[in-house]
Amino acid sequence: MSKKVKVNILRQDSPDSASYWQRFELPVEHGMNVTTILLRIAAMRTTLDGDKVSPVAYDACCLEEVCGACSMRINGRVRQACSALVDNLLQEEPEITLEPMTKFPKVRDLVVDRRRIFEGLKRVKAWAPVDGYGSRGTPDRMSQADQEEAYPLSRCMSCGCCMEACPQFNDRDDFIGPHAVGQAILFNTLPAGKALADDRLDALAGAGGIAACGNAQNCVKVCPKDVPLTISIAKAGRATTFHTIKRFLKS
Amino acid sequence: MTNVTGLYAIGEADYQYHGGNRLGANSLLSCIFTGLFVAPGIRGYIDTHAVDIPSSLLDGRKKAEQDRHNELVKSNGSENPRTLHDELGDTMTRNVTVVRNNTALAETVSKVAELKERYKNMGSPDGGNWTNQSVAFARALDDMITMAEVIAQGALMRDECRGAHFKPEFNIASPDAHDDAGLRQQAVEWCKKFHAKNEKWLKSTVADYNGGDVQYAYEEVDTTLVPVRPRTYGLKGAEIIEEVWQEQFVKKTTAGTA
Ligand code: SF4
Ligand code: SF4
Ligand code: FES
Repeated sequence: MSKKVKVNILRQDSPDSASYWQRFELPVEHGMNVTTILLRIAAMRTTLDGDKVSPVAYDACCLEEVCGACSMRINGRVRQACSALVDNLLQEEPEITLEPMTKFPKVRDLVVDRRRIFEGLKRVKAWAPVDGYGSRGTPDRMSQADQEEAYPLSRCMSCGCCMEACPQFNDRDDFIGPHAVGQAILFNTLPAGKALADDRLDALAGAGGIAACGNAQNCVKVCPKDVPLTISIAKAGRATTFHTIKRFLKS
Repeated sequence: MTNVTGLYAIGEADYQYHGGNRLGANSLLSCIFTGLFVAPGIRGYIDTHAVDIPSSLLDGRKKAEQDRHNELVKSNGSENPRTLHDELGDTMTRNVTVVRNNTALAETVSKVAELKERYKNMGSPDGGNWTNQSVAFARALDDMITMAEVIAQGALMRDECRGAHFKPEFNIASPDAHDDAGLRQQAVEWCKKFHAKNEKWLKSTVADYNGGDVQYAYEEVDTTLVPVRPRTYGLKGAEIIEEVWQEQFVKKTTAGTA
């Protein structure tokens, strides 16, 4: 008989209702990941106790760990369902446990409202302004050193893992989140992004900016893309200090 | 803009990235480019051309979609959308990717027709209205079945190899003679066949679907800017084919399509 896996899922029907656990059991397939588990459950719809249930709601898109949509807590650790392989998980724990991220409002089952990730990016203007790009000519070439610094930051996929792990990212504080610090530094490094550099430093120096970070370094440990978040945080600290002094002297 | 005024298809849904041009992977960079490029166009359209659509028209459409949704939420047949989707995926992946043959394509067309019938006996796995992913998926599946039908039928009707779509039954054999004269003669034959199949098949398949049977038609391809040339990538005898093509066929093709 083929190997089976037991999966415990923390479900919740709507944003305000109570959560509850359900247990499923299904055959392990070759190369199976957690997203496939959820697909199979949607097809079988039966719990271990034999109850007929609605499919588990979850988010997914790229299925190759580049979009960041499928983040959830898998065996207590926040990561992507699509890159979490069942075989590897079973080497660590006998069963698999899935819960939604805790730092974002619940929508249903494993789906959370991830808007705050993007609000953080908007607050630091994490984009290159492109209106009228045609008439602005070619941006300056980047130095090799800048490229090497920018590339690891550009791997961020707005997945929310660093926010889930960060003690300062909660519903009491207004912290923009570690990812947004990284992206502010990225766009301040890119020639095409420099036009908004001062605005970004204002946001980093302001409320919910870099001062909210307690330097616990949890973020960098959970980032699936190895974004050098703590380096960015240190850089942002220095840059905002200079920026604030400069503002002060100018006023 | 699509042929529905005011409706834009942007990114991978865009005409440009489909079929012949999109065999390998996705086209993220192209998607970003069209987004960048089309957004100002949309703004311009809104400023200059947009007209108020009578609310009666919108209300009617909204009601039709809402009815469809309600019908699916309440449906209690025996088919599960995920299972139908697995079967659709299996048959399409097996038979309608790069290497295609007509027997398998014909089987696929009937399998898709079967799935279309079974779809009518759908049972919604979820009777709720909050984040009901099953219903959203069931609706998408309906479109996937239609798209699969069009792709498989379109491929079945096209008896040739084009781009990376390889139909072994219609492959034009590569030159393999050991002497130059023989090789050249074979290359001429190759080019003749290539030219003849372009006369017949250098067309885009256009499928027209209005809820009933799909109607198929063909549309000429505009070759005025990029003249037709053999796809010799990885082909044995590529050099001699290209030489012969340049010498004997380039003008012919241009004149033929002008
Ligand atoms: S270093 Fe700062 S941002 Fe990272 S987890 Fe700690 S408090 Fe959060
Ligand atoms: S920095 Fe890392 S953990 Fe944070 S959102 Fe980006 S990819 Fe995810
Ligand atoms: S589905 Fe995109 S990261 Fe998992």
